[in-house]
Amino acid sequence: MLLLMFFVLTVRGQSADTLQPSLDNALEELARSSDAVADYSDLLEQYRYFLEHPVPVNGPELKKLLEIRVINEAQLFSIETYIRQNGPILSANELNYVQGLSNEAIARLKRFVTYSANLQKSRPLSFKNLVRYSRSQVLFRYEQVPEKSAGYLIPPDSAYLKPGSVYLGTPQKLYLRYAFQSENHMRAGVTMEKDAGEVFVGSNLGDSVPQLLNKAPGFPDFFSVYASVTDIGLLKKAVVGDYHLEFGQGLTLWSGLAFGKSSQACQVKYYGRGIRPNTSVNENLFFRGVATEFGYKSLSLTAFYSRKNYDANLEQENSTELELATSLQETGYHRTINEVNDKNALSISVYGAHLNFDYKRIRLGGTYYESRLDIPIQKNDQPYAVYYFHGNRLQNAGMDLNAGFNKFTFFSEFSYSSNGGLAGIAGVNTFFSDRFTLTLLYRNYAKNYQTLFANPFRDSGHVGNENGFYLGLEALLTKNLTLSAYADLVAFPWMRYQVSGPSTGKSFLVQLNYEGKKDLKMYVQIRFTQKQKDNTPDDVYLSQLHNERRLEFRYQLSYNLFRYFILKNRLEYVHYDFVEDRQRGFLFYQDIFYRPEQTPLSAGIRFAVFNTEGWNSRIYTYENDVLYAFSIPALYDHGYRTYLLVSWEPVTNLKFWFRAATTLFNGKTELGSGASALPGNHRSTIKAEVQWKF
Amino acid sequence: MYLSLESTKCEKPNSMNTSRWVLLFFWSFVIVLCPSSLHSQAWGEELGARIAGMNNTSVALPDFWNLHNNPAGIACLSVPAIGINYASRFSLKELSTKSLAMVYPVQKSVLGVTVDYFGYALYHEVKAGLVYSRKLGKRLSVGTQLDYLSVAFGEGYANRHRFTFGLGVQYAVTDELRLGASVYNPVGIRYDTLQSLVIPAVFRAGLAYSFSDQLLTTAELEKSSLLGYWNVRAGVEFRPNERFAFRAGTGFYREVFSFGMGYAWKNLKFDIASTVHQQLGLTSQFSILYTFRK
Repeated sequence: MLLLMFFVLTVRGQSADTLQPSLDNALEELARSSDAVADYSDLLEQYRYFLEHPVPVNGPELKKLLEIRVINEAQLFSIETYIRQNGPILSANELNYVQGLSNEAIARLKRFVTYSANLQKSRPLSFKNLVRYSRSQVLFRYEQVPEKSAGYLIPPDSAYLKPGSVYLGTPQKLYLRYAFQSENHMRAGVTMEKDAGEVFVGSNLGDSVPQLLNKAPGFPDFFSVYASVTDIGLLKKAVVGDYHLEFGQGLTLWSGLAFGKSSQACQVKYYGRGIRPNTSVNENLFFRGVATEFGYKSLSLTAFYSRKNYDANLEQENSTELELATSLQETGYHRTINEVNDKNALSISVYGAHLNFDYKRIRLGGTYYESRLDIPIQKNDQPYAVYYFHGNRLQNAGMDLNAGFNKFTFFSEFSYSSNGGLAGIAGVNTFFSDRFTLTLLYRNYAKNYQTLFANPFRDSGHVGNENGFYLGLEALLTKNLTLSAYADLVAFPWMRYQVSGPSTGKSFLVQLNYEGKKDLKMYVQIRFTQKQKDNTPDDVYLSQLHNERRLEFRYQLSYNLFRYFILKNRLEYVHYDFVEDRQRGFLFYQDIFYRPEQTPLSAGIRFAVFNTEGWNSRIYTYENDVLYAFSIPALYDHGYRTYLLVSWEPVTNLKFWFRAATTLFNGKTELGSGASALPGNHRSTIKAEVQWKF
Repeated sequence: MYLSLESTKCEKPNSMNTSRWVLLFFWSFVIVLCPSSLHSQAWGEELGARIAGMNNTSVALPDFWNLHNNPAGIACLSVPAIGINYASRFSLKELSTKSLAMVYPVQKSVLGVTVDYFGYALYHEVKAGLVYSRKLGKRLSVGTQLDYLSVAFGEGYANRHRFTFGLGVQYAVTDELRLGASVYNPVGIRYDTLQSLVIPAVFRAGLAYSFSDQLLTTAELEKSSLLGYWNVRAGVEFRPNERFAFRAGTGFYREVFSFGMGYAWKNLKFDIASTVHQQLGLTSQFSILYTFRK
């Protein structure tokens, strides 16, 4: 430890990109809510963009900061009110006079805004301007787990013996991205990725394996490209290639990721951005085709067509010999024979339109689209899944409404799926006092509501079979001290996976935040979740529902030591309880960041110790990572975790990152199971990345 | 009076005489006590649609219906008032509570009377209570309630009568912050040795904080001898203008969510609220309060 500290001192480094703590928090919640590893850069690209391109605090673009959760609607309202009464905000200091902004909010906002009374207009579109103001960037990343897991130990030419647990490819993960941007008018990009275990160029698969594969694995495994233009006459936006669609509250159509419940308790409303190019490597979560948006006065019309292949597990029906898909895969891994054969097994065509009407503070939208599958999805006979989508056609339609009034905003969406399912969500953000914001939300998604591309606010993974109330508040107790809390009460009227009856759940969070002078920040968080789950003792045939409870305490502290050092500590305690299974978990970590102002080098290091009594009391921790990569490991059992992150910018526009992380478990001789099983008691990751802008 | 945490500015009770309201008082009691016309319940359960909207977090608030919840909460009422409340537990008629109550300031004290009927012909409980509350100094209020309780089964199958009492205190720390605590039936008086005929002992403590003239928040801890845990609840009330009030609340156990609204018109206040129990559904309440102007 001392050695490491010494190293950090001598390196004169500083850490890489850090997020605001509330976003760390929101990402931890996302990681917790799904076991699949997602590429969260999807959510944070915009965040990074605005870090580099701050918006004028006095202009209408300030609204865009809502989308990236830098401010909430109450804070936006406070700033707008201040500007209306006192004229433009001309300096960062002036933000201190805006009622209703905590120190924390001001510190956060400062990084994203510029202060100018005169708003700059965008340059007219011409070929000359397009070229002159264009910028490109190339990003390349290498990642590898140095320890070899079981999947790599058997040579690929013997893979036919174990089609599900031998990795055909190499253990490197490679990622290449090129992006072009010319002012706001034109963007284009290419993203390529090969996951660890996937086949690289010229891999030797032997003779037997190719015969078992439906198609030869190509390189790169994942390839995504897009080109987009904005604001050319009536054409507001157009994308050719890979894109996302985000409308309303995400109940009818929302293809990308979205934040859910988090310590930002009043930020549950969605701000759909319509068409958005895809730059993420979430391989099954976007559209591929064309999307255009035309706008005339207060009306805008978006039309889109997409045809994209999805990974799925196919089976032949015995009687008719028709092919049916049993499930859609979402991991995007194509490492084993089985996974390669599932790749792009079926294609879904999606076409539809969204009409939007804006009038003052009212926004009304309608969405309709149809999804057609070339291979139908088989009906799942499990009782919990009888209402899930099956077949090969689905239409969805929805209406969304957003209305702002004096001191509150209302948002809602109602959706219909062609099998007869209905779903609705309605909420209100209120800011009657500049020190207190309250959000109320009610949703009711029928058990037979079906959708392939929706991602609304919800508690469970599946969209449908859920109703509940959400109540969130953020209060400014003093300028330094903020309180945020939420309560979410949810009911599932039909069975769910491993829940063989109607069930209920509730979750609460209370967080007290302190942000003082000299970058002293701390918070205390208490989080409680309870859900019902099947309990099937060995001697009983009928499952009974029991409450599964999880109570978490967290204390986090960060402060500046000396001049360029930032120290951060977290202490976390978890109590898990389900019938006889009672577990406790504990985590402590120490972060040290070194960020000199002048030198091009920065570094960060973490040392964490964790001790949990099992997987159920695991603890998720957000870790700083290289640009556009994410690491939010779930730590469980007993061990240590450490990582080092160094970034170096030798010349402007050229930046390198290096990261090494390892988890060491006490008293284990093997980690994981199946193909990913590792002999030994440690698992590491090495990442190196370079970004070049020109 | 909805929001007013201005307890420190409590006005002097006026000594206006209103023969008309004494008459009203009289007649309403006649109506209430008429067999099976009005009904009620009591046993330390909170009542009143305004505070139900805030998930029954009333212990630190000045509020008319604190006659039931914390007797110290009426010490600030400066004019006589009369109110009725109807609560339909889990939307079942048989589990409804009908209440009539009034307060009357006398000199430096405030007196209150409550009558409640809960249940239906085959099972009903009646509570009649006398409340005495007063301020001690500028910031402190205290109150006590004396209740007569009765429970009756079927057609003369069995019935029991008991007396019990409650105590309460409220303290205004600042104009914005108030603290309150109350106990009901602290000595554990019970109808019978039967478990089902217990009168719970209830303890509550909480605070109310006013962020602005339009916004009031409350939080409360409750422990009832019937339930083996401490319940935590919180509520909020927005009053965008003099007439309307919107409320919401949440709690850890039992009623996990609540919402409600109020409307004031001349001397009348109408409040409606629902609390949500996750398994048992909605409990709705409706109150009308008539305040006599000076």
